[in-house]
Amino acid sequence: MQIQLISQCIRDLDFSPTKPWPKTLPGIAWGQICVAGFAQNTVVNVATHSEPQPQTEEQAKEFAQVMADAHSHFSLRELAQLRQRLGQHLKMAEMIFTHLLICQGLRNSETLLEILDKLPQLPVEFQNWCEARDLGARELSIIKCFSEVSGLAPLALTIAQLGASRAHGVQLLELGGELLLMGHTWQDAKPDTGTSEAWLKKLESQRRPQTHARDQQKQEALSSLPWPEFLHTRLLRQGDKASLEVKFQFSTLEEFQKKNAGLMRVQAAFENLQSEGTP
Amino acid sequence: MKNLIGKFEKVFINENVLESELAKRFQKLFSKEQIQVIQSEPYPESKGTLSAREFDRGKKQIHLTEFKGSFFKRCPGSKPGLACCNYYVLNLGLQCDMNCSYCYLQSFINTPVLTIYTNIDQALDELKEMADKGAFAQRLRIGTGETIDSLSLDELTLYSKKLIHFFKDYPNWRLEFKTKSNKVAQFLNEEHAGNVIVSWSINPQNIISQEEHGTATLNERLDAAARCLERGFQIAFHIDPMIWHPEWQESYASLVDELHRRFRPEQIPYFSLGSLRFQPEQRHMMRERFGMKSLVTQGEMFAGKDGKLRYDADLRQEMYQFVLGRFRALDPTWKIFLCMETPESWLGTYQAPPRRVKEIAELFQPITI
Repeated sequence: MQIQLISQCIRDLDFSPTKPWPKTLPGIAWGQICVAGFAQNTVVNVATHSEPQPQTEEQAKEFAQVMADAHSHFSLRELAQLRQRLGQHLKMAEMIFTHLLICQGLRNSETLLEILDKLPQLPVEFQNWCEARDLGARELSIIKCFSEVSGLAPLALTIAQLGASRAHGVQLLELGGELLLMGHTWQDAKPDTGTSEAWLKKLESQRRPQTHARDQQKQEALSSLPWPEFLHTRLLRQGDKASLEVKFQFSTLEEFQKKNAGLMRVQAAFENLQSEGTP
Repeated sequence: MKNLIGKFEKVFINENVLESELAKRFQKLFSKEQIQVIQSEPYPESKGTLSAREFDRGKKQIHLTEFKGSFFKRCPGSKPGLACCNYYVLNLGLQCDMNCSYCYLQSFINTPVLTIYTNIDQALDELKEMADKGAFAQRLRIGTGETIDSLSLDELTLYSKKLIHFFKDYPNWRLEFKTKSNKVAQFLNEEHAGNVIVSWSINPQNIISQEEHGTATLNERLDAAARCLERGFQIAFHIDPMIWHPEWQESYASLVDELHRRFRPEQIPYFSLGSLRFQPEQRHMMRERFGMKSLVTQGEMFAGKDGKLRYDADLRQEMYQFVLGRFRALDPTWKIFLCMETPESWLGTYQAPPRRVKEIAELFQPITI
């Protein structure tokens, strides 16, 4: 192990790691290749071989292990960057990357590689959003359906700009992506207001128009019933069922009986509605 | 047969099954260039969840190997929360040479080839052992079409003949082939004990054309069913999965009418109805393989009680009631049940749980093995 000036190393693998390298430590190199601490002045060369870069499977494994140990965890954005840079600069790139994924507990699957190839083509803001929300490849799988990823760029950028939560963002990406693939334009799909909740509702109703219309019809029919004022009602969709939630409060038996009688008066009107064929 | 052989680019045969009856037959049917003898698994790097490309390639490459484990299983419909019709499955292969957009194998398969198990004799030994332990007297329905179409590759394997021959000795059991092909000629002359049901999964022709790629047309399936009936085989139909589309009422009405025109209720022990459903993770593969122009990927799906994505419960009920009503209007004695549905759907459609629906109650009686 020896310390050398970083200027003697190649820093082409700098994949812009999110986690800053400790200022007081030298960087790490394997042969002539800097693998961590790209902005340091000196590096420790940890290679057990004299080659400037890995030449054999064994060396590729060692190289990948050093990278994995130095960075401990790679986000999808970092993996995507690193994959590009390895491919451009090292001969054993594919083997190194496979071992790097193994060190991360990931499988070198076609699905993952396709996501890693397409993610860098989306706006940087979105890549950073994915990283901050710790998204996995599965959650980005809609990207694979776009032969031209640029078609997804406005949607991805807006998700990032709205600072959507992980759960909202994943749903927005999927619903919005599907709508675009179904032929809707970005003008149709873009948010009308500045909240991800409102946008999600809009995309839900665009993606499931028949169900949305049925739910609205149901809601209107139920609203027309003579509900007593003390009742709070709303149509609630839980999975594949839309049903009515009725809430009221009471503190005495007398109060309960009174409110319950009011509720029972709705029954006759409800039966009429059903006999007319309203869902 | 030539067309069928021509569909496949390659046949991998594991070295240890080279002497099996099936492997010998394949070596005669396929050219030397198509066959590759291997010692382990084909494509060992493609383990786990497959990509769309790997899945597509798998449909064109056969792998002959031994199945290690128990062949005989309960149908996946036998889960808490779903009404079960006592169906058992015998899986003699994995993957399918046809290509339906909604196929559940897309979320199930993690092997990148179409696998056919060569040790069918072991499967039959398992059944025999079960019979010897007392299951002989039970009225079991055993199907071979869960993880592979029962008949689409049968000209290559001739497994139907072996199974029909075996089931001759077990008249209380019913063997059910389930297919979307019209490949029946190879077993029509087999002697049988009247306990073989050849069943077809069917849909209106517009759905077949758009969503069931590489399958037989509706007419071809119904013709094949008629031929089976002529030879004394029982037949059944599964209108499953029903797929919503703007003209669904016209399409399914004309399907029911056609069935009624060609068959009589007493000729068909049962129909099953089911609507589109799939595991949530399957949507990724379907979207990639069939795009968003498919009626299946475009479907308005919601998570059901069992976690699968399904149509809205009211819409499902409307579809079932429509088809059931059409059958009943033509003849009230048609026997129809709902496949993999919740008790609520049964009540909504029949106003009764399945064991209380006279025509089909027998299918739902609990049995123990």
